[in-house]
Amino acid sequence: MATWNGRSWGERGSNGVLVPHHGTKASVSDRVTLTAYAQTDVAGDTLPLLTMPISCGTATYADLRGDVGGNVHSLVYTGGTVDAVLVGVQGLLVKDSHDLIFATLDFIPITSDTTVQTISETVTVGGADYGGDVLEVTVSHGIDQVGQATVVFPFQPTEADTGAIVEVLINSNAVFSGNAAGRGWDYFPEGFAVDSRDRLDRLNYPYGGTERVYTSQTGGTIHQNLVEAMGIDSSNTHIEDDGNTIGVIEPIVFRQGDRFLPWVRTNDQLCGYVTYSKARDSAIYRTPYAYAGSIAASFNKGADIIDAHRKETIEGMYNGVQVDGFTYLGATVSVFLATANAYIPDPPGTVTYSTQSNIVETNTRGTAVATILLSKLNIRQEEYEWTTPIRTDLEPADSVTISHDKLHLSGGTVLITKVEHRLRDASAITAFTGRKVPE
Amino acid sequence: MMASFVTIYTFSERGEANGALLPLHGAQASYNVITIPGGTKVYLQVGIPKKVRLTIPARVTRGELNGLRSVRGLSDSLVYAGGDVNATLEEVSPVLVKAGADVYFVNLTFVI
Repeated sequence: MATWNGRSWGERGSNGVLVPHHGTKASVSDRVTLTAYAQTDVAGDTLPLLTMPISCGTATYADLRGDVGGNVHSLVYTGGTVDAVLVGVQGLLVKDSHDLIFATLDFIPITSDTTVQTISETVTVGGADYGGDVLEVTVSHGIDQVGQATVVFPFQPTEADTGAIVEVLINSNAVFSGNAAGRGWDYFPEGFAVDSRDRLDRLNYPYGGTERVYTSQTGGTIHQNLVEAMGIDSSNTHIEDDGNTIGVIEPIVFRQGDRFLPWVRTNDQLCGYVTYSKARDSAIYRTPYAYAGSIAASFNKGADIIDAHRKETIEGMYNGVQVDGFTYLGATVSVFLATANAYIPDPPGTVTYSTQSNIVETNTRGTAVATILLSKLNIRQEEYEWTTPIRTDLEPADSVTISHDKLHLSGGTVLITKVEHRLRDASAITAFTGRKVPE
Repeated sequence: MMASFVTIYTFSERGEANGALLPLHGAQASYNVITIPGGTKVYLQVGIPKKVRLTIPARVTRGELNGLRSVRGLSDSLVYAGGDVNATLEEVSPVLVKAGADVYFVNLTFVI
């Protein structure tokens, strides 16, 4: 008699008939056979399916049918005792048998190295819950973008019109809240996609109010005011102030038709800040472009990294910065800073990045801006991409560490620049991109 | 027991003799195994149970066959050996006819 989750049944097959036993199989990189260099790293167990023919009564069959899902229980059977998840039940009723069913159970035996994740998504459109009728979900947030979500349905929800509120939860964790901005229809097979953007996208719309004039105010104050001018409540903002007073000589003016986000991005660059939205609350954040005070997570080869890429390049590296600012009474703010860089050949010796903004009104401020830009640009530019099983706890601008000998990283700190969740059926992964930033 | 779909469209589940096996609807959850390279860790991701297919071998009369064909694609109550469930009739298979009799053998596929 075999048992699982308090259910018991007879294993079909006795008197020399063979019964199945759970197996094990490692995952090996295809490149082992493609190159002379043997890649010795293999992955964990692929968790082969254990299909078990059984006999049971109708009550047990109904119980087992209801048990299908992500719950782990101890399976005791001829093959031994193993923790297992039941993912399939199929049965045949023996007619006139007085309550006898021949069934097959599909178990996935797990090991102590297995992490079981039950994947569920909740998608509401215009307040209506379509969680069970979603084919695909992609949600992304980053320091260079507005929050975006694409949800693919097998049909068109009646509420899915442009502007409808779209909310996405993965495993009960909020990962997106925004408004439908685009729709797409597919046929055949039939599908309907809703593209949505979060409230940061409001700053991309042309301003439609009366002229806004800012005189001698700090950048953070202006950012905050611009965000609220687009109808975003202050409770949905966490904007840190850079402390630089701007608009002293020439007021900063926004008129009808101006878009705030490009100005926000420009001022952020001059201050060494980033403005972005987070998945968990869709609020707007502004923080320094720097490693956070604490490490939010550590990723390790062999533990939670599915694939990873590290790119180091001299593309985008500058060891000189020219900052041109406001022209006043015939004089122009102009600052040039340069420093040695062993990775830049001589000649040219100095590779200069140039920028101009009337926000910079004094040479003192120009020097501060040039210093910020030089620290950011005078290093080899490093970018990272890695994927993991779904993680909804990390956000753009979080700092994490990566330890991976193949990437030559041992606890290297990385600033997350983008977080993208991808769900399709039971597959749920999170793709991260990150950068090395000046320490 | 006479089985039925939409209450009024009847059919006999094939398996007249004792010991015959009558299909029952099961349950399935989709899953995804993620093996982590360079170690022994593995992630098993399990989705919520999805709809399943059930194919019932049936014996029908010409009138019953025509009735079932007319409701292909419809979702309604299915009463059969496995109980009373809501189902969508997806397919009425090509038919085998018993010569000289009003007997047709057919497979009915439902999505439950």
